[in-house]
Amino acid sequence: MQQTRYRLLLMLLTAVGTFLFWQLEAPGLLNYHEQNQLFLFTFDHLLQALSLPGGMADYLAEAGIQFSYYPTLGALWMSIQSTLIFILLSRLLAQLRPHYGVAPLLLTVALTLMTCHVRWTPALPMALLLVLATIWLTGKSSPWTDLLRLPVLYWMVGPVAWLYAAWRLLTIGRRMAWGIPYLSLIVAAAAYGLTQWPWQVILAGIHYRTDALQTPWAAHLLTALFLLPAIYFRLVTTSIHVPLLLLPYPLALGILLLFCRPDRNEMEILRLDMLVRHGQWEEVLRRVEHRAVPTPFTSQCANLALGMTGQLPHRMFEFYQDGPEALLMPMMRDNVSDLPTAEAFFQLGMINEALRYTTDLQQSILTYKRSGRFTKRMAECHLINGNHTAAAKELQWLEQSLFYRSWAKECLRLIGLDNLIDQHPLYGHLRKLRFKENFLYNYDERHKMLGLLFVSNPDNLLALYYHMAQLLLNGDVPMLMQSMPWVQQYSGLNQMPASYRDALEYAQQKKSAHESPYGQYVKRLQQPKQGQTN
Amino acid sequence: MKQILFLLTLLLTTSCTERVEHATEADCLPPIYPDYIGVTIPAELAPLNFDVMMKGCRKVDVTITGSKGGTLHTQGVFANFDPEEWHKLTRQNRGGTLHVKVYAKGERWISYKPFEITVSSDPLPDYGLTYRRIQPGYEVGGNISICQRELSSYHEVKLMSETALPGRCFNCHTANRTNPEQLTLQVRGAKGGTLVQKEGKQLWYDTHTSETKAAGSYAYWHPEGRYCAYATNSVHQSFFVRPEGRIEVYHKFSDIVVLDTERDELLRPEQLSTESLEIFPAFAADGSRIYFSSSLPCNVPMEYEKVKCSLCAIDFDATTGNFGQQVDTLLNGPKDSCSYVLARPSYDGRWLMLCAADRGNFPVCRETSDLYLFDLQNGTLRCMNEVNSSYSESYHNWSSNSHWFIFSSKRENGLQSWAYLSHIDGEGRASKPVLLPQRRPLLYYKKEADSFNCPDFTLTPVILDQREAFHQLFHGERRQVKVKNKPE
Repeated sequence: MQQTRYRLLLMLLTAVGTFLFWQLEAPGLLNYHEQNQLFLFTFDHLLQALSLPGGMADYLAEAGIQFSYYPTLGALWMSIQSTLIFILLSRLLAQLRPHYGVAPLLLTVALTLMTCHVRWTPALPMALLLVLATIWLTGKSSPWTDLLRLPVLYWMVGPVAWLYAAWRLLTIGRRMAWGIPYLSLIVAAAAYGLTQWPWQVILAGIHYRTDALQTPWAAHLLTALFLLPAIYFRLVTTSIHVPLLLLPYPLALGILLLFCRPDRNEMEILRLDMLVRHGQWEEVLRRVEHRAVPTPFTSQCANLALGMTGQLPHRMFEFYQDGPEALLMPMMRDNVSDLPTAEAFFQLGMINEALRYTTDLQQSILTYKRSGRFTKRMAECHLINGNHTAAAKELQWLEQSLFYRSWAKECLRLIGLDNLIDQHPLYGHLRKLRFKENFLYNYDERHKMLGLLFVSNPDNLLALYYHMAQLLLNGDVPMLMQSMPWVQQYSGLNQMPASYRDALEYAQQKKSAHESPYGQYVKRLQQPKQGQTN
Repeated sequence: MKQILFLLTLLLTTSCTERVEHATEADCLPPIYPDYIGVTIPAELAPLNFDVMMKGCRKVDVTITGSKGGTLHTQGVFANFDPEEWHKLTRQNRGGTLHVKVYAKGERWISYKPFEITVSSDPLPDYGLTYRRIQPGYEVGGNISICQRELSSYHEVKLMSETALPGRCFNCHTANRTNPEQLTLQVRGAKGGTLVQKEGKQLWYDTHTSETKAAGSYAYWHPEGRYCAYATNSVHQSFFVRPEGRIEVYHKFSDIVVLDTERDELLRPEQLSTESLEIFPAFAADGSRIYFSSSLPCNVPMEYEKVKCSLCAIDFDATTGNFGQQVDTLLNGPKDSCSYVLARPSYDGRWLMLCAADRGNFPVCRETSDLYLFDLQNGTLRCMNEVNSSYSESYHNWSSNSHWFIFSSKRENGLQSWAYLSHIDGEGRASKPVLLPQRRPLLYYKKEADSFNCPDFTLTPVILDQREAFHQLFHGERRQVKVKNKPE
């Protein structure tokens, strides 16, 4: 009875702990995983997943992670997955020894912490879950059934299927001695046949990590740790006392977590992105005030939130400003750095730039998956630009998903009807904000472009605030003064905003750098950054 | 047993096929996708499956009758022809026409006016196509792959892909007049290189020298297979702020070099390394000339509108590797206020197909880019209105017998370029383009996000060892080419 209570307590601890972890610590990562896939309810999508070893685990992980469209649902999904892993592991270990200790809890926690990183995909926990479920369901059936089961399992989950073969060897004994060599042959055959992938990627697993060439050996180390208590319990029950076997366990776990623990700065940045995506501007400001990771990304999120709430002219230098790129970043070849810039372009009405940045963000996804978030944004840009055929195609993809479906259906009604788009509260408004004249985008002269954007439509106060803010970030106070009449005429502000006044007073040497937040920014800008030699 | 099987088959087929009864006559041609009405095809091409774009269409019934005999019938949610029966019918009707009668069922059957498909008497001897699949992007390539597609079926395989060579950007492979026994391609960026594969052996070159400034691209083989011409340039892009233009692609410099694959030497004549931008080399059918485009240097991107290329030619002697002293201007771009690029001579030496656009030297990004045909016998130029659209046409290539050509067009949505096949007769008249057939065209092209760039015919299947390419790229040595010394 006491043992049952103890197990229930551990299970509850796993369920609640993992839920709270994802909900409170890493909702941004869930949002990141969600936006890097688009689960489609089509046969084609399933077939495509099944065309590669490990594809089924990836498919099911995608099916689950799509719920992170609402982070609480995503946290719930992750909690259910972890709890299932805990339960299966507990039951399997209980078959070997009734008193199995805290091993399942430790392993579940290790798995959660290790995969809490942008480089790991949700496919690895799903693959391990499927392996454990297969071991559980197989029971003590004849080893000959594994002749078929092993290749099928390998194709479903990828190379972590070796855990199954090893577990069967432990539980059945010599009759399964052929399991691991047999699986090795299957993997070798896959590596030989699938020439679209380097052999080392096939051997280590295609779907576990996002960066193909950084082979996920840590995944196999963790898988080995899943096996270790089983080995220990098995050997103990056969009266061979090997206490030293347990020693490497905490040691390996410790090493694993030392190198694979979650990066708190990364989590914070991803959380900011999630808040920006959902337009939670006040929450962005609250978090940046509380803990600003000193990167351009943080500055961009804060500035966009300030701009969207009309506070940019007043409070800009209350927040960390990374440099001239604190408003808009140049194009980077990754799928994170430019997220707030792409959002800022969209809100500003620079639709071509929003489309371009979003397209490149989509192309930067290392797993080459289509992104729901980016596809939605591209469809919006195409709608605003009047490219109905391209928009329709993207909307038809989204129509086959769960969380984008109703939105896509609404937007499909706008296809071919420019007058309806003109009347749309968001798309019609953004259409009006666009440039009137066509010219080539020049990142180095973005302050001028922002000024032109404002001149194209003086209702576009965000463009005016960004124009002024860019001049401040560039340290161009004289030009700021030239543009000041626009602020007086169009912004409805009776007094000069605090940031501008502060910059002006600093430029006129009425304030020292110590007294002026802007002065401190300029001073910091003039200092070489850490790591720079000159 | 046989009788039972026959009865079962009969039962199954009759129970699945519905009789077309009481059909209402429609006074129009069927709204089919892709538009195959009135096209000309080679007998060897995969079946032209199509969908009927009638609202509420649940079933289509299609009967094809050949002018030289034979019929083919299909019924289903789309016109899905049996490949074996299709090829039997097209082979039987080579030089004739196929009469296509379409019925579509929504609430009730509709009978559309019949249309015709011409089966050319000219064969298409090539095995298939190669092309580069890439999503329309800007600065990041994504999952690029070079694919091979069998023309008589829908079978496609990847020859090289981003998954096989992670993080590498590669441009299209160029075979020698459709013969994949000799091919070349370039992998860009750090640790990149130029692949030259002959008879299955991969050689990876570093074609970047202090004198050439950049590695080779836009390749074209000399017919004898010893030499391969490349442009060495630096390609850039700028972006427009309004939707009317998307991208302006330009080159900051460009010269033409010829790689001697027997001596690992680069031939770099002064005539092709001037201050002007020489680009898109192509050897004449007999190898005695190199056609190329040339534009005056401009301050790009500011002066992007001034980039106008002329079509030029220079003599080349393959026995000595010497070039003629004089550069002939065949078409003067600045004078005609347009840009002539991407000249591709037909392999029979009769025609020169090229792109003409209002400006620039990257036609796939110019909406105004159209295909033109230059008659090498009388020097006349003609706009090929019969194949052009209001969007970009580019990346054309000839079949090995020069009776067919394939090209990319963005006519579908202005973003993605897809491959179209057309026949050309002795007078230089092209037939209505055929969108590359797919088993389920509407579904395929509806979900397809890729562009099919640089399509080219391949006489036989291409064999390219990706693992070897991976090994060579990541761990192998490059053969450093040297520029051939000028004769004293």
